[in-house]
Amino acid sequence: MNQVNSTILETRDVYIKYAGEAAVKGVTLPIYEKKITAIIGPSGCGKSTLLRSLNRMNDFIDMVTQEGEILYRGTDLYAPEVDPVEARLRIGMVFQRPNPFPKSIYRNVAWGPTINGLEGDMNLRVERALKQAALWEEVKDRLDDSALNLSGGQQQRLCIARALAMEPEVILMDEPCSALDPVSTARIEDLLFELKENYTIVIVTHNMQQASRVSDYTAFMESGILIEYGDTEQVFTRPAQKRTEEYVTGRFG
Amino acid sequence: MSVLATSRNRWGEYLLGKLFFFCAFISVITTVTVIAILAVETFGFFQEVSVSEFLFGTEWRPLLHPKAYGILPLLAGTMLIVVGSSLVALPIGLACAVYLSEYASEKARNIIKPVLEVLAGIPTVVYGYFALTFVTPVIRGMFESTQVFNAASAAIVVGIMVLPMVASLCDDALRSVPASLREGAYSLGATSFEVSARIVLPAALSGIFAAFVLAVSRAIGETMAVTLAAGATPNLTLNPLESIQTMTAYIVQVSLGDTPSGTLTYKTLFAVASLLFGITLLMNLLANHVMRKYQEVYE
Repeated sequence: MNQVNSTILETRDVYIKYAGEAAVKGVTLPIYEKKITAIIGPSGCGKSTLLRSLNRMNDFIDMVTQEGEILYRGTDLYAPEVDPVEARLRIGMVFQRPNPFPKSIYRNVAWGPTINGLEGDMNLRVERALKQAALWEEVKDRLDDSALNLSGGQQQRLCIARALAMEPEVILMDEPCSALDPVSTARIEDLLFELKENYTIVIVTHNMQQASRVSDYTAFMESGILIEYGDTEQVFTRPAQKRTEEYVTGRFG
Repeated sequence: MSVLATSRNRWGEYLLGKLFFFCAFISVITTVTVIAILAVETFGFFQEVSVSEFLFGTEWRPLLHPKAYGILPLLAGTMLIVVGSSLVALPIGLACAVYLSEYASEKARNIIKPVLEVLAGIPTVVYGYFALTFVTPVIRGMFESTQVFNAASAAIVVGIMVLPMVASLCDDALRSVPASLREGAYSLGATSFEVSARIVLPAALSGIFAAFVLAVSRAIGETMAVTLAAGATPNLTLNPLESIQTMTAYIVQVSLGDTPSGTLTYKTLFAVASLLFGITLLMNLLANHVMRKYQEVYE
């Protein structure tokens, strides 16, 4: 972890308000390329809100206002000339609960590339994405089945495959395992290690073991404020802040 | 003596229960009675007129000699109204619903929804007058051959009349699609239109179809506006600029006249009403069936 990291995403003094009430207060955070960054913290600390601002998913919530800059490779994502649709092509997302479309497995994965007119052999693209999401072996003989017939864990891996089929640079994951059983969770964690080779991942989790197992960097938030950010090993073993120590050792609150 | 009080003391509760049962019973009895009377009189009608003459005859002339009892002209009149009003109400109603559920801000929604409800609350006789005094002159301005009473004018106002229902039911159907599906689609780089047209609409299809069927069913049964604006000419035609008569308008015409009960003319009312009832019942059952069978199940 000592090689030089390049920053792909960066928040600079970001404030996000819901109907005037600040959910995120002055967060400055770098996201390094091809690393896994975990954002941890108690419920309601603003970690999901911050994550959603990274690919402009808060645009759909009427009451949200935002200040500060979010830079993607040096460009402000919120500059007036930036098309949010374009931003989401590069920065994909996996949600808290699996949300497959009520379509076949194949069409779920092919949907994004199709509407965006991505070039190349679609069958190949679907197969590659499903393989990367470690789902191919389970579904290769029933690609035309409805995605809604898959188990919860399979559905979530399908949603990861769906995001991967777009070949984004960054994948945002909002507590992707919170609705899953431990076996499915372990599979997705294994998957994260493999995806790190090619993708930058930002994962929000309230599961500290998960954060310490999978991530390279960890950010700890509380009440909308970024309390501590650093190397995961350092944050979990030698936290600089007392609040962080209390939280990661479970003596919180 | 038991340690618990007996329920005899709760006679108020008992009476209320009986009262509510009675109220529920009235509606059941009414429905059964209506169906029974329709069936008996319709049976009487078919003692004198053959089923095939009724269903396939091309002339409807129950009041003048020589008499003829072919329902097709009335069916054609009703169909003209249904098709015409559907052309107005279904696309505009659906578009309105898509706007309300996918594009409109909370603010715009809070203005448009009540306006739609007002539109739905206008008495149908007002729509009939509106057709006669406003829509018809406009159509006649465009097509000179248009008759004073014509199907097109009535169809347009019936369309406007059912539009709020279509919009409201389709809006419900679209909003029942979970927000998480929209977010999933947006996160894959979809535009609002792609999300609406390719994710939300297909997922809400059963509800939308049911809304359409109910709208058609309402247009079939609509009476006042078509009586006022479409005319009273049982005319087997597909030209919307001509005067026609619908099944409902015929029933109004004969009910208002001085037809003695027990005559064959009197019985035509029940034959036409039975057919009308059968068609709308079928449509409503279809809507129900579609809603239940094809409703997407979300977690």
